[in-house]
Amino acid sequence: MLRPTRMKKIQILVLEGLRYEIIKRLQELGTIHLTDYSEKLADPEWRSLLRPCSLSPNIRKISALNIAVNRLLDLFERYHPEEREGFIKGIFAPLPPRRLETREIYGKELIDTVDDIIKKIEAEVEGPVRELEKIEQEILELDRTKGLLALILPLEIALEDIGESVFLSISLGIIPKEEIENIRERLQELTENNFYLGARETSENKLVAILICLKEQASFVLANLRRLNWERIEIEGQQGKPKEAIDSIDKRLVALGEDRARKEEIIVDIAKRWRDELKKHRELLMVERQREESQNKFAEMEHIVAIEGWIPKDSSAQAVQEIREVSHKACVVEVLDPGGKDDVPVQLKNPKLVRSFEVLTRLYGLPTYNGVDPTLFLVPGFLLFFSIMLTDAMYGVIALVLGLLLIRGGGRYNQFIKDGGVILSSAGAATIFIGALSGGWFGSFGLKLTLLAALQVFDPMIQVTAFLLIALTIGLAHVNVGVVINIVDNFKRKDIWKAISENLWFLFVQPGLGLFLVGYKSLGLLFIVIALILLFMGHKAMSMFQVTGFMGDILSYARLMALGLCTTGIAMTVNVLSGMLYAGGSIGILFALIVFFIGHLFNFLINAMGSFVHGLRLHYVEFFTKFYQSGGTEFTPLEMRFEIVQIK
Amino acid sequence: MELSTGIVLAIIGAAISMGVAAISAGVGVGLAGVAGAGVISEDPKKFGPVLVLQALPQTQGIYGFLGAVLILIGVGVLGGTVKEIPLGMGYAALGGGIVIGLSSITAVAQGAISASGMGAVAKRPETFGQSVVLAVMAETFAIFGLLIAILIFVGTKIMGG
Repeated sequence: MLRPTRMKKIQILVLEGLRYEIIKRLQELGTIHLTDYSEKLADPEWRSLLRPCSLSPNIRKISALNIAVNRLLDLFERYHPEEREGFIKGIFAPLPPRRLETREIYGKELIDTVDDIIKKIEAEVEGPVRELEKIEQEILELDRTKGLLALILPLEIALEDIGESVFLSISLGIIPKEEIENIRERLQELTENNFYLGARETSENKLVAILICLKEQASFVLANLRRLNWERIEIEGQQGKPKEAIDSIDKRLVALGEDRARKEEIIVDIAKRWRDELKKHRELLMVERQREESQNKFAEMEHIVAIEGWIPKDSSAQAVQEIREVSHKACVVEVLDPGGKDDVPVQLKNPKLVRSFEVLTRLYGLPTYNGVDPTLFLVPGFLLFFSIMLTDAMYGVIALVLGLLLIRGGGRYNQFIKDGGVILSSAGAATIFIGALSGGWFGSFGLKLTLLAALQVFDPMIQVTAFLLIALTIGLAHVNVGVVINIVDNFKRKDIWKAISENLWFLFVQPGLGLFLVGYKSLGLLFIVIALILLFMGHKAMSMFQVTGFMGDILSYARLMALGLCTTGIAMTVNVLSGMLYAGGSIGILFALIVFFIGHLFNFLINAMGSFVHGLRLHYVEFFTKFYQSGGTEFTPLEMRFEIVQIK
Repeated sequence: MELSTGIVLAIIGAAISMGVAAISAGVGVGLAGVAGAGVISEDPKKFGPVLVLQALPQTQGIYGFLGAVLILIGVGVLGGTVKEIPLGMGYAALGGGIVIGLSSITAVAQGAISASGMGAVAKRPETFGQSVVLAVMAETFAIFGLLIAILIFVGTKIMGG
């Protein structure tokens, strides 16, 4: 509870041929955190005995299969998207996750099965996908042509007449309205008046024009016209007048649309039949891949594979037994205590409700293996600070209700949501308690009820100085707890020098000052002198900064009072504003209610966030720094983690 | 309505408290928002953490608001009858307003920290909590400012009945 789970180092030597069986059993046990042998093999002495394990040939095959499976699932998602739960619903009232049953498949059988499935699906899907691509292409082309045709709609000419004949060139273009005279002049020059230009208005203040000129002059003329903003329009493969062409294109588009829908139906059908199978096997493949990739951490020699890892002390006996069983006793297994220099992975161990608060410790960083697990101390401190800073019982009720909804909603299936719910509801409960004592029920609104008013023992807005003193005293106590943890921890670690010289002076200077101030001057002075000696012993030149550091730490707790007042102050403001609106007749009452509701909601959100953040911050900066060593590695055992699959 | 100089000074104090805090919080939130827009342009799923980080510099604005309200309620401009307060008290209220306003300028720095924090979260989502803590550190001084102002108000009887 106060220290991470005690670990043992486990070393296994096993016959090469049993490699797969061993790793499968270790994965099923789920209690061993594998260490990478390659770190050890940097040492030449080790390298003379062992080599790094050769890569398993299956990894590449599994990767390829994975890519193919994902590609198919993406295709299915495109044409038959899966239903997803809305965000809010997912948090507060999610449906139980769907599980797909299967028998256990692994190894070569799994790879062959998946290969088979992929080939089957690809055979079915290949045709329709290719057809769909062709259809999409044609639709694109037709749409483009339709766009051009729409531009030249005002010209009532047969499209097959556009182009070149024996002597003439007939071409179409779009020109800005203002240019038409320039173009006519230019044409007169270029063709010595041997041309015909007809124009009609079309969209966007432009004219669509038809130009007839001599064939041999065509390219010359058109090149010149381009400089006068003549946009040439070329349309291929169409007959009849533009309107007729558009109609025939529309007919074709309808037919293509129907064809496309038909082909998409085929794919949807395939998706319905195969999607679950693919998802199931994708997960099985992932587990298999983990087995293959973990083998990279092993080392080998002649016919032997060497495996090293960490295992919680309490699970070691069972693990040894299982390993012996699966290898038919052809193995050597050793369980050792961690050495001084080992980076032992850290698994936090806390009782059930405290466990939900571990996420707050993790936010800062895991403790080192030999350090203290502060989560247990964090719980009462955090709840106290949060409730003092939020200071309103009704806000506490809101938090409590939200927290409970989270626990009973998303918390049933998602550990993270559950942790959030536990933290929020316990913080809410604590706030109800403190809020009742300080008379905060939506500010002073609730005090109209005599029952609630009777609970009040303290008015933060009036007894301001007292509130400040309470906050500072809490700070002093909290810092002392941190110092005591530090000293006890050092003693336990047999580091007596550190235990005495680091912070012990602080525990002497307080009674010293206290005694001095109440009149026991000589006794007080004695304690102070001892404190000063300890201080200089431990910190020499930096002693002054230790003193100011502690002073700053304690003052920092003044924020408990400041933020508490802030919440109460804003609640009071909201009440005053809605009170003023309330007096304004029936419209006023409506606005008053709106302001009351939104104002208190806003106050709750802002100050709940603030209380959360500052409550944590006080722990991280003023409390943890006294004794906490972060930087531990997380204990991540090799395990079978199934989200969708359920092994029968 | 004839307002005594004391009341006027108190009102100016409230104005400084809210006004300077508004500028600081605005700039801070603005700095953070600019970075936030960049983050969500790359990955819209990060809107949640980005929003929380942007909200952090806002608190100085709230302190400014609170200070202004405490002054206005204390001298009766808000919610009651305008009191006749001595000139000295007016100056005291002005002083309280100034200290909150000035100390709220930390919001600008906090906004810059939040902006960098968003960059950290964009790269490594697991650093969200740590980025929040980094941003919150700048708030300590604004809190002390609010604290001193409250002590001024209590000591000069503007607050606390």
